[in-house]
Amino acid sequence: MDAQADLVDRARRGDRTAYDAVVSACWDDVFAFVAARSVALEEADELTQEAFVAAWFSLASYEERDAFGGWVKGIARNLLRRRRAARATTDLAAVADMIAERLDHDDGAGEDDRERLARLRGCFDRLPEHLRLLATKRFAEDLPLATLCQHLRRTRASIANALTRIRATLRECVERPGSSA
Amino acid sequence: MSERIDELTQAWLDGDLDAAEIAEIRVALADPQMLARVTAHVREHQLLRGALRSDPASAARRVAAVIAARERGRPGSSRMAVIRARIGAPSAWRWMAAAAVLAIAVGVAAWTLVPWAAPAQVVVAEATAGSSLVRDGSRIALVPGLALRPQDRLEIPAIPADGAVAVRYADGSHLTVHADAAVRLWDADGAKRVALERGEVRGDIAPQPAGKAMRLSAPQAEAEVVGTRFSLVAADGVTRLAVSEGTVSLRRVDGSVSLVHAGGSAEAGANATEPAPRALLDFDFEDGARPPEAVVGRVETGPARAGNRGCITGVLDGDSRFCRVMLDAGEGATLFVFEDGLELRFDYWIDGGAASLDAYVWDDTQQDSFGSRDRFAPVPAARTWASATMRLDEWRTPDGRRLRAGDRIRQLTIQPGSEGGVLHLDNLTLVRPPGP
Repeated sequence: MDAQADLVDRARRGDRTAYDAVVSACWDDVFAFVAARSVALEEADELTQEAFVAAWFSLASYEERDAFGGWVKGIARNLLRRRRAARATTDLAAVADMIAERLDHDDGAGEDDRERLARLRGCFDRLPEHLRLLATKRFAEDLPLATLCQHLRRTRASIANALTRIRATLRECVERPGSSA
Repeated sequence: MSERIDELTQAWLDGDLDAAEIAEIRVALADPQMLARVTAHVREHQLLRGALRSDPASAARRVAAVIAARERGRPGSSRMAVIRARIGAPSAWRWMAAAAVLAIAVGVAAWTLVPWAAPAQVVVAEATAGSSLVRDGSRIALVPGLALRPQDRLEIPAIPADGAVAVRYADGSHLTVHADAAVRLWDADGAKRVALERGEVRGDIAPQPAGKAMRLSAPQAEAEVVGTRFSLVAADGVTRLAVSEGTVSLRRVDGSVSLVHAGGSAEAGANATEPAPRALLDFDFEDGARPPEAVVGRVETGPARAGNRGCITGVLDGDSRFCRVMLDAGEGATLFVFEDGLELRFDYWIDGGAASLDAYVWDDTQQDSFGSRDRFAPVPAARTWASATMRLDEWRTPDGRRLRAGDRIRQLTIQPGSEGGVLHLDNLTLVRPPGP
């Protein structure tokens, strides 16, 4: 029995500490899967958390022959679909749904999400400091564009250009052969 | 068309689409190629946000807290129901199908039945009426005892002007958010994090564990705190830090850094009245960790100073008989690029009768060593902390050559001017003072 299987087995017998370790080990994998299929990061974070909670309450039904992370992803996928079905029918929601549906149906596209996530982190660390700070404020702290413009005393176009440059730099870095975390 | 759809996608990701543009993107998405293009952008965007925000250890703690809350709130809970089901369940495949449904039902039902019991790391201690938080798009009144979740955004109204919300951390630290403020608090693997969008927060922070300094980000700057009293204000395009006890570093969006000691203050932003020196190097050693550049030296508590927790102590290196501290970017790398006006500033404590300090750099561009030998003011007093400022454009080689703008500097060494003795350094910065 490998280390993770042992932890899952202990979790099935009610060991919370073991389950904490399982969640820590699988979080990035499941989160990357959900994030790549979500239209809002808050949704990805919340749904990943919900999937792990639901998995705990359903541990009895987990089949050891399946990878635990894969099993939790299945739960997460169901949660995503339920969330989409419950979404209001506005124009904006329709756009979100079209994209979410496509993300969901891109079979196999998520297979390398975890690796891409790790590479992104490595590439992010190599950004110039001022771009790292801006990216952190926008993407990690989620400050709205308007707030950034106001506080940094820069125009919307200037901030948007900087964000586009950050995305392009990261994309190029991630896709460069040999780039690693 | 592709360019336009890219533009619309970015605007959408930035939450910046108006109704006409939403309609436009909706029509465009009917084209499978456009849909694929947008989807690729969205996936990339989400992974980027995920990469910066995913934190498995704190996520595991959140999951554990939710599980605990749901189990506490449901006597004879669904967890128990699942266990009973397992005992009587011979067919795994049958239960596999049922479990998917059960898992979701448990999640959704428990969510609606059980009040949130947060990780108990941050709890509202006091709150002025009218203060609220935004959670999952809903507004919730702030009341004493309410536990905060990582995504909560606290909003304190402008009226009354003396309104405030106080939150308490598990380690006894307190943070007070004053009127007309918006702030978010979360935990990053055991380290406190605060994002101040606007307004003022004041902190009374217990000493934080090594490597887990509290960070407060504001629009123009980020403050790092290891245990102190301070206030951080973000208003009118300026972020202002005032420290009443201990030391806090303020890192501005432009990369410049100020170390603010007890009784001091610093500002950041276009409207700041205090011009900010630009820091090319900045080490306060408060987190107890040795920076990777510090290839010679040992980070430790050092001689006591109120509100200070760490410094770097010189060690004997190789055959040297000087107790030195050396920063080295590594073979082929650059510690900093020299420019006119650079000042090296640091606090020091020296013992062993040394009459002076010696500092020098290795210049990769000129392939030579440039130093301050015999040019630095004598050490004023042994066995007490003192501050030093050295101008690098005064440094020379033994034959009188100077550093040139654009020179790539790989190493910086500071040591006593004579052999033996002990040297402690702290708050070491290399700054370019603001121009006229």
